[in-house]
Amino acid sequence: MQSFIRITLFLAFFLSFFKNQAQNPTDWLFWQFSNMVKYQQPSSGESSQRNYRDYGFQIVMTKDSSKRSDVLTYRALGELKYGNYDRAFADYEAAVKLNPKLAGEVGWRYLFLLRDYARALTYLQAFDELTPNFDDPIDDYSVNYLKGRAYAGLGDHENALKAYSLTISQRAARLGIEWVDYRYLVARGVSYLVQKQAVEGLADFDMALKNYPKSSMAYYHRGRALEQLGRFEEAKTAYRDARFFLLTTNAFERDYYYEQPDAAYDEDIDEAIQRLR
Amino acid sequence: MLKIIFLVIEVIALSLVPSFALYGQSKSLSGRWIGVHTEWDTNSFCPLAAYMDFNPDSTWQLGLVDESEASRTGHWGMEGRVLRLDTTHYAPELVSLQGDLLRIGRVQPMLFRRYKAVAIPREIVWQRLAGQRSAGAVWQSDSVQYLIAADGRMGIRNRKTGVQTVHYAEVLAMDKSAFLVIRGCAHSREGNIRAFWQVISNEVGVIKLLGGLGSNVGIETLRWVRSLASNDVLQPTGFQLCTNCFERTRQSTFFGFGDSMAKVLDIFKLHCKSAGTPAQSGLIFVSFIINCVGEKGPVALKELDENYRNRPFDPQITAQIKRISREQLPGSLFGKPESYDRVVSFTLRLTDGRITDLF
Repeated sequence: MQSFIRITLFLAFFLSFFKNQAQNPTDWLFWQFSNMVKYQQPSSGESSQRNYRDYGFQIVMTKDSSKRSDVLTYRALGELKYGNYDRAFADYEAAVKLNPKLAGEVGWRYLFLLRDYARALTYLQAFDELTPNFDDPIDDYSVNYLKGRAYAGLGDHENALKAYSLTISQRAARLGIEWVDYRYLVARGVSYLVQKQAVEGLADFDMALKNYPKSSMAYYHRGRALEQLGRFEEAKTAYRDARFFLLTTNAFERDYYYEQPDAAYDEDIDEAIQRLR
Repeated sequence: MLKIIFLVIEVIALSLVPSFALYGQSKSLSGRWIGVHTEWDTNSFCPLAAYMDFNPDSTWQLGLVDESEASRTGHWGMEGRVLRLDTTHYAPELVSLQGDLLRIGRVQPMLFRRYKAVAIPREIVWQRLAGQRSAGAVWQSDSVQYLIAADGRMGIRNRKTGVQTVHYAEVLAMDKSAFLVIRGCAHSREGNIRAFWQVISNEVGVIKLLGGLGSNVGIETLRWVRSLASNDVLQPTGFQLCTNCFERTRQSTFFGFGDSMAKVLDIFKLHCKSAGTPAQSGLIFVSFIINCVGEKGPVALKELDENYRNRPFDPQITAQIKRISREQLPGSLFGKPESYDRVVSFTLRLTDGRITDLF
């Protein structure tokens, strides 16, 4: 959640900048004058020399190892966005040494931002082992979902299915199946399709669409499941629905910051429709 | 050891702060201040063509030197060590006065200098700068050559590298003083400011300008070289940004994922001939700027091994990546044309010399 807030603030920082670009120069000057009182520290996601220097100073001077590890992650996020991976991950690894609870966040970064599945899994497992009986959250995901993603990235769909099933069953038992994040169901369904278990996959996509009826990716993968089952007319309809929702709904499934690994794209959908024509 | 060095630097820095800060000295702030620059980063400065008046009757005025917008007015005062502008209070560490330099802010602070009027008619300055009877003139300082056409178009050429950018110059008048303002780019007379100087001396063949030079305030002395010749080309020698105040960290475009990413990856896979060597695995972070007219700037690469340590890849591979980025990737893949410059960046994963992923 903390990272989500930081990313949101970072986005707000950019948007406020562009908003102010549109203002006339005197407005901009006034804005600068009033904002310099509010912003006495560089934005956490900003990768400026000033920020790097300020964070460097804080890291050296902060005695509290938990706060120091937080500052390391702020600095790492800024570095990551500008391709300074060497500096970013030196900071992340130092942060985890200071505060092992950050292993989850670092695993998340390896998984989604660098698709380094092996390293991601190592960190996610280390995080999960801190409280083995709980499906801990990392940002707005659960650790077992992220572990499933890492296994899937490594091509180990058997273990991916186990991890996905664990988080889905725990959530369903606690809150009811209708409160399970539809992305978890889509992810498990995709792994079922890889394992040629189209019936189980179809059940997951149907449930995902109950939980979020406007999901383009759920319709797309539902179409794939139906195609595997030889139900081609229904598959065509599913692909068309996928295209409709891709065009008409907010495409957060194609996230601006990091990709939803199961997201459906125009080319995939068009190719599927052509295939069944 | 590093901790001790930081500690010593901080102690010295903190010990210097009181000598610069304001201690209820409203008189020391009274008068007119001229903008020097906004410090966008520790190594990046944007000229600030503004003035600020702290009047003895406690009124305050902020305006632009070109008067393109109405100025703003209000009331100011010193409350102990705190500067107040209307209802906004600036803590002591946000305002520092060092001699004739006033610095306001901590993140992206603005630097002002005390204004001293130098009565020089702007028309005379412009006539000299642009050549009295010719179509333009060439001037130079120690490091830069200025090619000024009569219509204001100006080439700024680095004397050492020969690199030239193109802008527009004009001389503005304020309170009898003259100010040289260079703004815009090759494609537009409008835009933000490249340089902003007060003309402090205008003798035949020598013009002295006072304003921002790097991180500080300095004097740029221009010496007349010759009239502008018909074969002087007022075009950029290479890629030029449209903005004059470009801060990479504030302009990055995360061009997003989806079809564009897949297409970019397909183009790389299609055009990049693999060296096929097992040692060539890791990540290459690719970035370049697309300016406001869709031109691509130089392609920069950061090369890392699989453990995120810097490493060089086979130059055959990196040369191909640069060439493909420059020549094969249509600008349309990175969004609609925008009226501002933007950075495009993505990361390629190499496995045994082959491009296997893009994110």
